[in-house]
Amino acid sequence: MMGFLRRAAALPLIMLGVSVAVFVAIHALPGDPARLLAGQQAPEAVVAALRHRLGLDLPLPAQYGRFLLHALHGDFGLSLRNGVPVATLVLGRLPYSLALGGLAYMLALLVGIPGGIVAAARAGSWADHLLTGLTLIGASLAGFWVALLGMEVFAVRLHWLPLMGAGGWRHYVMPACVLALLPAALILRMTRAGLVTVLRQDYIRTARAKGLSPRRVMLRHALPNALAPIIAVSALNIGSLISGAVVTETVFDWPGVARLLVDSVRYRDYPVIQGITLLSVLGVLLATLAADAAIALLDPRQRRMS
Amino acid sequence: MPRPILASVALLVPLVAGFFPVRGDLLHAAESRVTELTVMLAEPPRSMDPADQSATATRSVLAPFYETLVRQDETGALHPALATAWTSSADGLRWRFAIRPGLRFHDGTNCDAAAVAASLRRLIDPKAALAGSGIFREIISSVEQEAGDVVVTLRHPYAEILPLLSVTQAAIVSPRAAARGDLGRHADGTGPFVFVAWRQGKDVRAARNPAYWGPAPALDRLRWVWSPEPSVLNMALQTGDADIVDPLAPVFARLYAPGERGATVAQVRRAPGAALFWAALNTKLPPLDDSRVRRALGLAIDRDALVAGLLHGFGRPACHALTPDIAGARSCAPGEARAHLAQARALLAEAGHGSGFTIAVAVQEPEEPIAEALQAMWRGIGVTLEIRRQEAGVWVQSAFAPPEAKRRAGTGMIITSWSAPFIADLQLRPLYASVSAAPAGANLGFFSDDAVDAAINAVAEERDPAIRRQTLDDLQARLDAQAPILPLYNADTVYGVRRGVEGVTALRDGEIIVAGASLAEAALPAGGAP
Amino acid sequence: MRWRLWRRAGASSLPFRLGAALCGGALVLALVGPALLGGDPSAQDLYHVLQPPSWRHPCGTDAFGRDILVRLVYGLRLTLMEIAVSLTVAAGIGVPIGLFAGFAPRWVDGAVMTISDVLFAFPGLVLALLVVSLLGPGLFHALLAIAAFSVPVYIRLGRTLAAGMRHLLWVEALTVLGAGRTRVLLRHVLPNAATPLLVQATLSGGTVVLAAASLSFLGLGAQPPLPEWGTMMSDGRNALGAAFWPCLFPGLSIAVTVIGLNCLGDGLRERFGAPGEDRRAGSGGEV
Repeated sequence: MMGFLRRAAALPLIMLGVSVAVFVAIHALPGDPARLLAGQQAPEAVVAALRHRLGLDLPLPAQYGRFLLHALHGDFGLSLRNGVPVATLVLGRLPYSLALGGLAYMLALLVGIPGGIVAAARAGSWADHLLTGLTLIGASLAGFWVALLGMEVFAVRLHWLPLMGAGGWRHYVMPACVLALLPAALILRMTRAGLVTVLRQDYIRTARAKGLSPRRVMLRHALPNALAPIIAVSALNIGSLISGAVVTETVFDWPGVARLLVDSVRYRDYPVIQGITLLSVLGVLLATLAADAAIALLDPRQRRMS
Repeated sequence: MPRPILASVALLVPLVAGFFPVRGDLLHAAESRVTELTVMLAEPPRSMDPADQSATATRSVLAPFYETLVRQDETGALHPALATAWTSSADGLRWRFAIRPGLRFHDGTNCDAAAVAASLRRLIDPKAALAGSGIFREIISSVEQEAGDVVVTLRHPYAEILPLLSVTQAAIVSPRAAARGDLGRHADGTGPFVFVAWRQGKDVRAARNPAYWGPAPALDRLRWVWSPEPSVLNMALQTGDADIVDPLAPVFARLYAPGERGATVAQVRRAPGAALFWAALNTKLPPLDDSRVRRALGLAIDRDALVAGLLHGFGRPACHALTPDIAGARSCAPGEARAHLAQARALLAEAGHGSGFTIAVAVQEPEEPIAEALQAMWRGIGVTLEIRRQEAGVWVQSAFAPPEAKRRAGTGMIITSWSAPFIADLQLRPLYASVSAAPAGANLGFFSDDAVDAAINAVAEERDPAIRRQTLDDLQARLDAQAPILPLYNADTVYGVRRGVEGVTALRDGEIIVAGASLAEAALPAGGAP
Repeated sequence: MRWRLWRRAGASSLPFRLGAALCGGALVLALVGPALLGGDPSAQDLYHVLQPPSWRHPCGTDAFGRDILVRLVYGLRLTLMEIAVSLTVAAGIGVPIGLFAGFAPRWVDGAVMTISDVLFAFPGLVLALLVVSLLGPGLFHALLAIAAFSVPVYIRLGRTLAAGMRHLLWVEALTVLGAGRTRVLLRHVLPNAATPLLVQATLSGGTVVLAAASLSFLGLGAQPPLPEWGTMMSDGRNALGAAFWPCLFPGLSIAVTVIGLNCLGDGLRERFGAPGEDRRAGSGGEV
C-alpha cells in the first residue's frame, strides 16, 4: 500500500514534468498557427499582426509561463481559433467521448468475457475455433472500413440507424460497435488465455476432485483469478480512449474530444492540444494507479508483496 | 458476492457513469411544422467573424447573417445591398456610399453610416489584426462618415473596389458586438437570418430574422453540420441527414443521374467555380530556373485527362494565368489542354536536360491526386516527381519557406488552389508580383519579373475596359512564356440538393447561398433521425 | 488427463497450420509474384478510372485507372517490410530498456515505467506527427512513428521477462561469479527471451498494418505512387458508395495477412507458452 501512496503523491510532480515535455513537443511541430488561421492568401504583414495578437511572438519560456499559469487556474487558456476557453471546449466534448467509450468498453466486456469463458471451457472445440476466428477477423478489420460499410448498410440502405452525429440512443449503436471491435477481440483472447492457464493449476483440479460442478469451478474458482489482467486492460484503455477514438469520431461526426484534437492539431491550436494531451496523460496515469490497486485487491499474492 | 467481483464492479462504475444520457436534442424534438434546412459542409466554420477568416466553407455559413455594401449575384453583376447608391471621385480615390435608412443589427443597434464606417475601420485597423484583412489594408486608407453617407478613401485607384467590397470579409458587423470581443463565436450582422447557436463540434443554427429589411426568407431555420469524409457527405444526402451537401465529390455524381436510385431523392448541381488549381515552380532552384524547362513541364501535362480522371468531368482545363470568367482572361485553345510530349522533350533537350531530372513537390492531402497524376505524365519526358504528401501545418511550413530553406529541402514545386472572387488583381498580385515572394505572400516560386510587376500595377488601377483587356492579354502572354506557375484546372462548384428544396444558388467563388431557399410542399420527409 | 488434452489441442492446432500456410504463401508471393504477374503498378489511365472488376482487371481499377490486383501484389513486399521494420525497431528499443529496468534498482525501474506510461498516454496523433514532422514524411518515418507507439508495450514485456528471471538461480549464480550486469543481460537473459518475443511480435504484426492504414488516413503514410495497402484502402474510401472495389480488395488483403500473422502467433504461443503476463499485448497499434 505504501508504494501505491508514494506513486499517488508523485503524481503532481510527474504532471509538471509532463507539462514541460508536452509544451516543448507541441511547439516543436512544424506549422505556424497564425499562417494556418489567416490562410495562404494572407500577406505576411497580416500573419505577423495575428501572431502578435495571439501572443505567439513571445519567447517560448514566457509562453510556457503563461500556459502554466492558465493550467493552474484550471482553464488552460483560450483557443487560438475562436477564443473559447480550452476548459469549456474540452468539458463540452468530454461527456460524448466518455459516453461512447464507456459504452464501447461495456460492450467489449459483455462480449469478450463470456466469449472467453466459453472458448476456454471448450478449448479446442469448434466453438473455440469459431470464437477465436471471429476475434481475428474483428482485430484485422480497419475501423474506418467497418464504419463506412455499416453506415452504407444500416443507415443508407436499411434506414435502421441514424447516419451520424450524436443524439438519442440509436446514434450510439454503430460508433460503439465499431469502437468495441478491437477491445472485444482483445478481451476475449485474454480471458481465454488466462482461463486456460488457470484451469491447468492444481487447485482447480482439487476443486474438481471435490466434485464441484464445472460451472462452479469456472465461475467461482477460475474466473476471479483470470480477471486481473482483463481489468488492467479495460482500465488502461480508458486512458487511451482519446487517441483510439480518432477514426470513429471523425467518420461518425461524433462531437467528442478526439475530433477536437484532430481539428486542433490541424490548426496548431496549441492551448487546446496541450489541454487534451495533459488530460489524456493524467487519465492514463490515474487509470494505471486504479488498475494496480484493483489487481492488488484481486490477487492476494501481490497484496502481500507490496 | 465475492470480493473480486465487487472490485471489478467498482471499477466499472466510472465506465457506466460515463454513459449518462448526454443532453437530448431539445431543439429537435417538438415542432415539426417549422421549416428547417440542413446544410452539410466539408469543414466547420473557422470563426463567426467575417473579417477574421478566409475559407469558402466559412463564407457559406456566414452569408445569411451578414451583408455587404454592395452585393454580387451568381452572374457577377453588382446590386445595391446595405448601400443604396454610390459615386466615385474623378480620380477614383474617394468612394461615397449612401447607406440604406432604417437598418438594424440583430442585436438591436442601428446600422447607420456611423456603424458602417466603424465596421470598415475595424477591418483595416492594424491593431485588430484580423485574419482576412490583408488586401483591404493595402488598398483602403481611411473610412469616414459624412451625414448619412460613408466615404471610403483609397491609397491608389483600384478598378475592382466594388467587387472587393462585396466579399464576405468586408461584411458589416455590429460595432457593439465587435467591441464586446465575442464576434468570433457569435455572429451579429444585418442579414435575413439571426445567429442562434454554435455548438462546438455539432452544428451552427440560425433562425429567420423577423426584422429583416428585404424580402422575408421562406425558411424558419437553417442548420449547418459538417463531415470531412466525402463518402459521408454523399450518404447524408441520400438519407436526408442533409438537405444540401457542399461539396459533393464528383465521383458520386452518377449516382444521381436520371434513372438511378439517387435521382429520386436528390439532384447534383454544378456551377463554374473560381477555384484554380496550379503548381508553382521554384524559379530559384535549378533546373527550374530555366523558363524552357518550366514550359516543357507545362507542355507535358494532359489537362483534359486531369479533368476527366480527377474531376470526372466537373471542371475546365486551365491553360493560362487567369480564371476564364474574368474579363480579358484567355481560355485554352483547341487541343491546347492535351499533352504535347514531343515539344516538351525538344524544349528540355534545348535546355540541356534531355536526359531528365528529379524534382520534389510538397502537397496537402486534398491536392495529392494531382501530384500523382503529374508524376505519371512526366515520366513520359524523363522527369521524376518525388511526392511529399504533407499534413496541413507541415505543408504551410514548406510552402511558405524562403528561397534558402526551399533550396535546402529541395522543394521544387508546390501544388495548391486559389479561389479569388473573380478579381484579376487578387489572382495576379499575390501569385506573380515580386513583392509577394514567399514568405511575404503566396508567390511560392519566387518569380520576379519587372514587366509583369508593372503590368499587375497597371491592371489594378486601369478602369478603361479596352486598355485593361489589352494589358491583361499582354500580361498573360508574358506569363505563358515565363511559366512560373503551371495552371492545371478550374474545378466546378459541385453540390447536391434534396428534391423539394428550391432557390439554392452558388456564387461564382464557390459560396452556396441558402438564405433564399424554400421547401416545396411535396418535399420528402427527412429520412434521418426520427 | 485434461491437461494432456489441452496440450495436444495447442500442438496440432488448426490456427497454427493456417497461419503458417498463409504467411508462407505471402512470403512466396512477395518474392515471385511481381515477376510472375508482370504489369506496371503505376501505369495510369485517367480517361478510364474506377473500372469495375472484370477479366482484364480482376480487382478493378482505382481512381487513376491503375490495376488494383497488380498493385496489391507489388504492395505485398512493402507490407511485409513494414511489419518487419516497425517491429524490429519497437522491440529493439523497447526490450533492452525493459530488461534494464527489470534488473535496475527500484527507483530507476519506477522512473522508466512512468516515462513509458506517459509515452503510452500521449495521443498517438501528436506522437506520429511529431516523429513524422521532425524527420520528414515518408514510409520509413511513418514506420518509426508506429514503432514509437508500441515501444511501451515492449518495455513492459522486457521488464516482465527480466523481473521473472532476476531471481532464477542461474542468473544469481552468474552474478555471483562476477559476470557484469550487461553481460548477463546480453549473453544469457536475452536469448532466453527470444521465444516470447517472437510470439509477441507476430501477435502485434497485424496491428502494424492497421496502424499504417490509420496513418495514411491522416495523410501521413507511404508516399505515392508506392502501392502500400493501407494507403490504397484509405484512398479507396473516398469513392465508397460509388465504387466498392478500391477499398474492398486492399481491405481483404490486409485482413487475410493479419489473420495469418495472428494465427501463427497464437499457434506459436500455444506451443511455447504464453509470453509473460503482459497486460498490454496487442494494444500498441492503436493510433
